Amino acid sequence: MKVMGEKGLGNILKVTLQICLSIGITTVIILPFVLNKCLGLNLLNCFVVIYPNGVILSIITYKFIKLFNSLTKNNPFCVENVKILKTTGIVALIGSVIWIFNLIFEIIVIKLDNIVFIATLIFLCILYFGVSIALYVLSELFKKATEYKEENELTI
Amino acid sequence: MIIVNLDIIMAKRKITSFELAEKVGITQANLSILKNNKGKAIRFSTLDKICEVLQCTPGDILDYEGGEEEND
Repeated sequence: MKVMGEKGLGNILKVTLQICLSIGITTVIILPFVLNKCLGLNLLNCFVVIYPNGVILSIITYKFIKLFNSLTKNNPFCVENVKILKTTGIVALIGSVIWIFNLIFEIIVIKLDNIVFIATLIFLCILYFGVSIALYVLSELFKKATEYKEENELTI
Repeated sequence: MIIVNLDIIMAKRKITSFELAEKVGITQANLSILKNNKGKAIRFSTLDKICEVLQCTPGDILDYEGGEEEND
């Protein structure tokens, strides 16, 4: 299957992510109010947990849309993509730190004792940290590939 | 760093970029990259053809100058 180009898999993924981003932003905005109304959860607590993570996920999705956009243009190995991957890695690391703060907030402020919920939060911290490292490694790989491509293009 | 003195040899041989590019079998854009020292490497086959067309040796075209390579 074709990955690059206007009718490639990259473009399908880009459109899917654009839809996900639109739905995601709307969901993040209204979710605290829905949880407050339906489950009676504290509105402030919902804001603290949902909004920062929602912003982080939205930024990561937006960056990936830009990344897949370069696949549509048949030019995946460029300096811009290296920057996108590096920035996304940093954002994911910030996300990991936010999950740690959420964990502390849930345990100290809300006095949460649900072990499954705490385990989920710890898992998310580790997951975001792992993703940030993976993205950093990928950005370095893209950097090397961009250098090789440039060298190949400038060999006469 | 390696300096390409192609324009000097071309002026001596009174040959235009268009002519040289056509005879060597490379595009004018690539020849321009080579002439302006923007190229990263040159194939032996290309160097061979350039030398053949310009009736010179690689030493006439390429020169070495001390100092760091410019990175754009």
